[in-house]
Amino acid sequence: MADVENVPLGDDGKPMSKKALKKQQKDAEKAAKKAQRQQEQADAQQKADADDVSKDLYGDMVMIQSSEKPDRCLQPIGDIGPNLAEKNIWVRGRLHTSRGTGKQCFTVLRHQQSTIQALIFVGEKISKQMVKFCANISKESIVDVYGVVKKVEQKVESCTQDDVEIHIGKIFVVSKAAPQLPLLIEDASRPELEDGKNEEGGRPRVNLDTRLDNRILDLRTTTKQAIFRLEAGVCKLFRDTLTAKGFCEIHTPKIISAASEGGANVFTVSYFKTNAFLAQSPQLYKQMAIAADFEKVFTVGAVFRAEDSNTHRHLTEFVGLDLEMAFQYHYHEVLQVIGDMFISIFKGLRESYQKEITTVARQYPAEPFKFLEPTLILQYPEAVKMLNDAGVEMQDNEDLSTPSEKLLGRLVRQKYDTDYYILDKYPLEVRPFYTMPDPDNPKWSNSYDMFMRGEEILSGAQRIHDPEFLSERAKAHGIDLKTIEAYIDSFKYGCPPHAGGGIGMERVVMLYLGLHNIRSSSLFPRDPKRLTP
Amino acid sequence: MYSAKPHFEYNSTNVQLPDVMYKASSMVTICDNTGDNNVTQELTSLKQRQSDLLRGLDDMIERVNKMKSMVTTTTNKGNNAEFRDIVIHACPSQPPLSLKYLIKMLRQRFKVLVKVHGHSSVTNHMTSFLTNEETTNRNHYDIIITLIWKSAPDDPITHLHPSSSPIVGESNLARLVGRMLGYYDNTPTSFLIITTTDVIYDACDVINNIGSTKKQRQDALQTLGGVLNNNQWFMGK
Repeated sequence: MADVENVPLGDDGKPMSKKALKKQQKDAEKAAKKAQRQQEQADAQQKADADDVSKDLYGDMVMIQSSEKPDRCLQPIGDIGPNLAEKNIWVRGRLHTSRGTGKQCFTVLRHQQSTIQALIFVGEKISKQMVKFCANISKESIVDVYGVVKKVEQKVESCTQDDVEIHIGKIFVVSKAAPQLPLLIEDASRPELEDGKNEEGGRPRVNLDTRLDNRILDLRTTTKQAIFRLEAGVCKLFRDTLTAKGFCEIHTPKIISAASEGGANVFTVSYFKTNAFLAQSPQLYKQMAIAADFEKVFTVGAVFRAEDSNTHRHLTEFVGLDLEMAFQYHYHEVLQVIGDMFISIFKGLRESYQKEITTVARQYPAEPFKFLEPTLILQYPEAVKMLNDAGVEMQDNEDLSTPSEKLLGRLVRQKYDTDYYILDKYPLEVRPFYTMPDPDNPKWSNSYDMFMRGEEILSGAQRIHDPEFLSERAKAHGIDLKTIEAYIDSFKYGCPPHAGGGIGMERVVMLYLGLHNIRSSSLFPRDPKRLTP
Repeated sequence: MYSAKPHFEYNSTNVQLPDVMYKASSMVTICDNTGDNNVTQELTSLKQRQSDLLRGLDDMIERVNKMKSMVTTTTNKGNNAEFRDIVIHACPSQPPLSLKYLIKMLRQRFKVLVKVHGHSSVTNHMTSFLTNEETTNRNHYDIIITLIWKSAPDDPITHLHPSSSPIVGESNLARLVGRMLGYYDNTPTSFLIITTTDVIYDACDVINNIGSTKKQRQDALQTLGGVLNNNQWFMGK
């Protein structure tokens, strides 16, 4: 033991052991080091602060809790052009990309379908710290930017607003995004490669499953914004065209007690003490509305098909645009209305949604959609002959297989130069039991299908409106009359002759734009393998 | 003195007269009876081959007959669903003016349906040129003429089947209609008519073609003038 006199005393007044001494020494050293470091940092901070001229011009905004209403006008990025040159404006957008060196930082700000270049460089009022802050903002964060609009000599190829750029004066982060993004919007916006390749020259693509798992991010791409705005346009044109022709919009129930269309592909739901089904189509209720004297009805609503089809064009839940119309003497009156409606939709999209069509074509290039006015109507035997001449062996009482439909689409395109046509007079034996047979030849029926780019989008027919005849036809199809008693009863008290059809909204958009998968035109798609998001 | 009864009575049936001078054994032997094995086998196999060949031949005849019947049904279908849909793509700035008269001529012999469509690439649908006819049953007609106004082709292009190549130009369309009306029957007397008609068509082509020079047009007009002389119609009728 060392000098007894110099031993320091511990807390309890007794002399401390060697270990305790050593520990005390170590703690003191640590504290001294910490203090020194803090001092150095504070010094540095002070120094930095002292040099930061732009202290108030940038930073993370306090969370907007509606505490004030500043007198500020945020310009939509899509409206910024040479008309605002040399003006100071406020802009809110997402940080799409940013790359910075020490002295300057180039960013692209994005808002829905538009992007614009914004840059910041060290200058009189802009400090190095501010540029550094700007370069470190995580992608997809929402930022408010104040700056001056400048015209550019060379077009900014990568932005939609390619003739101007913003020189940033102030930048504030409104809502920060987590730094690790599951997919980059830039990658999700690149044109798809052939052969489903995933990468080309160091520029990766995002595959479909990743997109669907992170749908919120995927939907932010300019392409998806355009697709769904166009989809809204289809619905709007559908409603407007039919309303102008005197149609009334109705809403039919989706929880029903019996499976409506033939086929067992219904979802079951538990309904209190029993079971109910999700409607496969509004067919029955459309017809009841006609029997209830509404004469011309249409409905836009969900359709549920429990088919285990994992294809590029099937969903388990989709939006159906259905219409039904009472006619006077011939079902061609209805066929004309439906054909004209489609032509109005195509013309309306071409007129008012050209920006969206161009945006989509940048990522998914496709040939523009062609159609004839009035609509081309071919008859089934003609189509069979065209297919036979092209080498397909089929009889004229067989249904068209999907490859035959596609081939027929190509043949019609070659001969008539149209992507949209109607095929009338299908053989009776391939249609449902409620289809009205042709009066002159019972081999045929008063039914029709419509095709876009060689794929079927609508199936319709004149419906049998006489209860006795309907029972006969049901028996001929081997259907137990008890299961469809309620359906037959709808026509018991007089019903006008009527016809109609239904289209899938997602399919129409997919085929109009030439997309290859229906999931691209469904906001949150549902298929046998996907229930979320 | 005495008459004696004959000892015998010659009845031809009683007497067996020999008809063979010498009896010799047969030279032609029947195989089964003789039992010579090699020869028997060869003959059986020959017989087998013969019957096999005959059976095969029967089979083939059946197959050919079946195929013949199949072929006849398709050609029959061809004749029944038979109306021909002639699709003409034309540009509104250069309408095929002769089409109206061609349709009139066709109507003298066939039931013709005329359909007119405007393509999505044009806004002017030229409704005054030909009117669209409605029908509830296309099968009732022999010929359907579908005229599509498009922005693209300078010369009208006619499509018959997607598999056959398209027919370019108005004069060729006139030749097609001529064939359908039976003007091109290859009898020697009509050769002169046919050749002169072709010369007329070619001259028309030159006049119509945007690329022809003024001189070429003048020459063509002169040719036509020479053929027409003072008649109202070419070919006198």
